[in-house]
Amino acid sequence: MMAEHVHQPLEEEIRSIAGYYMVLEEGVLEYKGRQVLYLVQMAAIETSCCGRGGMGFIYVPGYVTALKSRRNRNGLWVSEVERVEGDEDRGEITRLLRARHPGFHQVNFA
Amino acid sequence: MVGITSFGAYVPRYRLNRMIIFGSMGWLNPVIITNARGEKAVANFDEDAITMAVAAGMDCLRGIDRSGIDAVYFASTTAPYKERQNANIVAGALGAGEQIRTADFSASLKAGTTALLSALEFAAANPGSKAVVCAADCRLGKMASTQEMVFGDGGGAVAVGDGDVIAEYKGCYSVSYDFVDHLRGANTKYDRMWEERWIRDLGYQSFIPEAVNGLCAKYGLSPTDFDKVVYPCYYGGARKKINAMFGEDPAKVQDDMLATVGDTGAAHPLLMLAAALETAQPGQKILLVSFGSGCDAMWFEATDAVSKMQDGRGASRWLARRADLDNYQKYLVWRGMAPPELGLRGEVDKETRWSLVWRDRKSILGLWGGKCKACGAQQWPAKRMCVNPDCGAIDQFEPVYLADKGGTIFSYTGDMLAASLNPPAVYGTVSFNGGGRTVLDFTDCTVEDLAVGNAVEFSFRIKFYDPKRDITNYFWKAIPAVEEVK
Amino acid sequence: MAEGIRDKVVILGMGCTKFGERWDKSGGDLLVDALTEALEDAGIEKKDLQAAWLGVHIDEINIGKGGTYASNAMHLPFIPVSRLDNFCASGTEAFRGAAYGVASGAYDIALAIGVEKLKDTGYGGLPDSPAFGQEMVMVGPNATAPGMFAQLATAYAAKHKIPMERVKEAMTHVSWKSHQNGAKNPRAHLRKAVTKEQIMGAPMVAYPLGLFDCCGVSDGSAAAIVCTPEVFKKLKPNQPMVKVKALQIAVSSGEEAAYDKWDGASIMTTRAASKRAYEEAGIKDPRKEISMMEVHDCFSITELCTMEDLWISPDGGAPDDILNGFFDLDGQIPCQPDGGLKCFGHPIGASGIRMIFEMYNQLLGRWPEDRAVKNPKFGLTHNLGGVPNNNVCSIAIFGVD
Repeated sequence: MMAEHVHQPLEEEIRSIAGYYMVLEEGVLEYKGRQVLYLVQMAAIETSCCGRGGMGFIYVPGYVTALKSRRNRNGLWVSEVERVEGDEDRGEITRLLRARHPGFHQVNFA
Repeated sequence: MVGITSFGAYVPRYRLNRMIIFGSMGWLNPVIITNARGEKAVANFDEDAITMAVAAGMDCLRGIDRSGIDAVYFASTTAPYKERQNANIVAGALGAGEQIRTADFSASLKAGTTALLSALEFAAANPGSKAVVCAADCRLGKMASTQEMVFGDGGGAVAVGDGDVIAEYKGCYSVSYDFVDHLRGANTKYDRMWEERWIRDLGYQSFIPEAVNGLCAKYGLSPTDFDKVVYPCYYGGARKKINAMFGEDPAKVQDDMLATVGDTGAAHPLLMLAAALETAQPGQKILLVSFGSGCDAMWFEATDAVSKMQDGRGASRWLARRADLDNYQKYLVWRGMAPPELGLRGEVDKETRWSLVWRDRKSILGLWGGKCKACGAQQWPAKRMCVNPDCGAIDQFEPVYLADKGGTIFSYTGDMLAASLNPPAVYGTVSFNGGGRTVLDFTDCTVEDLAVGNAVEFSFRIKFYDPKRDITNYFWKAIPAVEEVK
Repeated sequence: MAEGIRDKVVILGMGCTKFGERWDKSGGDLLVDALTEALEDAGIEKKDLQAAWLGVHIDEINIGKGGTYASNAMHLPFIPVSRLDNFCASGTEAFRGAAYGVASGAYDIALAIGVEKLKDTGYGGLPDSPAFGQEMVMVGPNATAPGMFAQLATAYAAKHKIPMERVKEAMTHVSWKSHQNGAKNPRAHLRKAVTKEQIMGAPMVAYPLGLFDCCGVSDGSAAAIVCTPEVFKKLKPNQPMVKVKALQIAVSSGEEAAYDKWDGASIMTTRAASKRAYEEAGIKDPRKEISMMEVHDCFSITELCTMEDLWISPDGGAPDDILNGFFDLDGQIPCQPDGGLKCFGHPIGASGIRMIFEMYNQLLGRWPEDRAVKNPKFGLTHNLGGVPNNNVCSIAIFGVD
């Protein structure tokens, strides 16, 4: 499935009532001849009703089809991506990203 | 005829490759490279000698009626309680009755075989009786020590009696010496040892042959008469020399599991015995020797019934169920060797209410539920009133031991907020086979291993530890059903 | 034959503090602020209050047990002050106490006040406590509310055979909508709109619940002064009157947790309490008759399932309704017009009364146009305390004459 990814500003808190997260860096993983866009992110769950915690995690918008091809009305870059589907590819990409970023708890796919 | 009626084993799921220890600690004590081959089994953060003894006991008692058990013996040098009998906790978890004999055997690595001897003598003295011996150890060596390399965690169990014997007990010979190769004082956490060359040459290489020769002399046997030989000794060179006394065939000497599990202390002879019994043939003579403050040497002869118990119980399926512990720091935290920050929330005081624990002991220790005599609904907990909204009968429960019934996953999750030594905390709702459901912690798995409808078994684990009062509390968790090894 | 309390009790005045991390205020300070606003709104004095019911949940930190702390803080003149705790329904329970006190004829004017002071723990979240009894300390799972509610989501998707992506999309909309509404509300704890993409990019707290699917901890207090319609007409002649149409509580029987019949994808207490509430209020078709709601969105999946448990969306139909904007501020039944727990905040004992505060002001047409619900007739509030398999649910319905 094709989709758009809006690039959030780096190191800027995106806050909910339970905590916040932020994008630390954006990366590209070569996989089967394609480029997987991924975001290295961190979160602090500091004001949730039910505990506290935090983690490093990776978010994968998809395979890049057009990187930062336009800006949206808020001035943020927008890329065109194709979602990563299927357990096999997701599993392998997860494995590669975990190896690249030890200690990160989650690899989540859009 | 008195002898072994069943056997069981337990090896924890996590295995630490010894090269990881060397990679983490070799900078300090490079000589540990000499023991850096293979991997060792490491108890999960919620396991200890009691839980592993129970796991081995559950394996041993598969398909065996618990109401017939007359004695439960527990052997370990790492029992969590000095006062509060550990064997009683094990017996409760195994679903044994309360009009039984229980005892802890400790303070020596031959405690496991001594417990077995006592159980056999109990069975001989009380015709028709049954006894179970559960042994486990979880010994610690300091960081970068030989012991840290060699020791592994695990358990073994043996059931004995005079009916349905699979290996007849033929006799024993013991030697006892205040030979201090290893020691721990009453308040010491880590093992201390004397020079290894002395332990090897004067210890293993002289006491084991002495015990074996004594046994042979007593019963008119030759060491070469045995078809299976079980004894612990983690010194490869010494092992080769001792093996020579049993004849030409190296296959008759049972693998010491050093490369896969490590030395499991008081449990090791029984763990190795369980592995030997998995493949024993009728008529085979089996020699079992322990080592620690002397030796117990015992011999058994497998009966025609041995194949009946070769049904998947034993060490193989636990050895096959494995996951890498790829992180030395995790090992340190799980074993309480390094203090982690658990946050203010982790400092919340949790008291144990002993009168409550006493009232609910069946439900907590043995996961006993009830089957309503009025409507037939099985449930846990079974307190006073039936949970079926169309029934509601009071005090009509037939007790049901649920710990060995297993169940299926109704729903589950992985939780990043619950305080855990292995986050995310995994838990879910489990439907008991036969009816009823409850929410249980899951262990020995990751969220990715689970799916709704999957089969689970129940495993007796540490529920929580109260460091202020040194109290370990236990309850049952769910683990993915352990696959049989064909 | 019991006939309920429909139209027997009306709201004379209400107050609600700003919710949030009120480092500078004690529980007593917050009580005084809520009481003062409610008395001003009611146009009466403290001495006119004949009885009070106090809703507060946590006692490990916070204001302690009993009624003394609150009575001392507000210097109430030796009137009855009854402390009520029923998890997250505590505020509505206090309101129910006051309403029943008036409906019974025992009092003319009574106070319901809720408070929670949670930001003195030293860590995020509620304090650990044997909330389900000492026996559960020995055998209960090492669970948190997000993990228990996460199972509601997986069971819901499985039961209705809806792909998890679709459920997550609906949960994202739930959270997005509350943030839109909360951003407009000056009393809300969190006033920040977010994009759906930002919500989707957040980490999992307990799969499939992400950071934006979970509520937080706030300090705050809310108060309601109730009286009989006769007293109201004397004190506020010719003014519109917000009437209590229904008040219902349902508590788990233990069946969900231990018996085999519960589907795991709905809340049995909400279904029971709402059925009784509609009957008490004389509502036949809630989807057509309810004008607006404040429901307990402790987690986005709770709000989603609640739409079905309140008999508003058909079973399995909540994701469609949610994504079609049915519950948006400009939809057919606006849900969480004040931002809900996720943005307005969640001081447990105050939350139920905070929801009533929103319905009361919406029914009286007091809010600015950008967050006003158009011509509301019936407003419904809903609290859910505990976890999906063991909980307390409260439902209240209000109307205006």
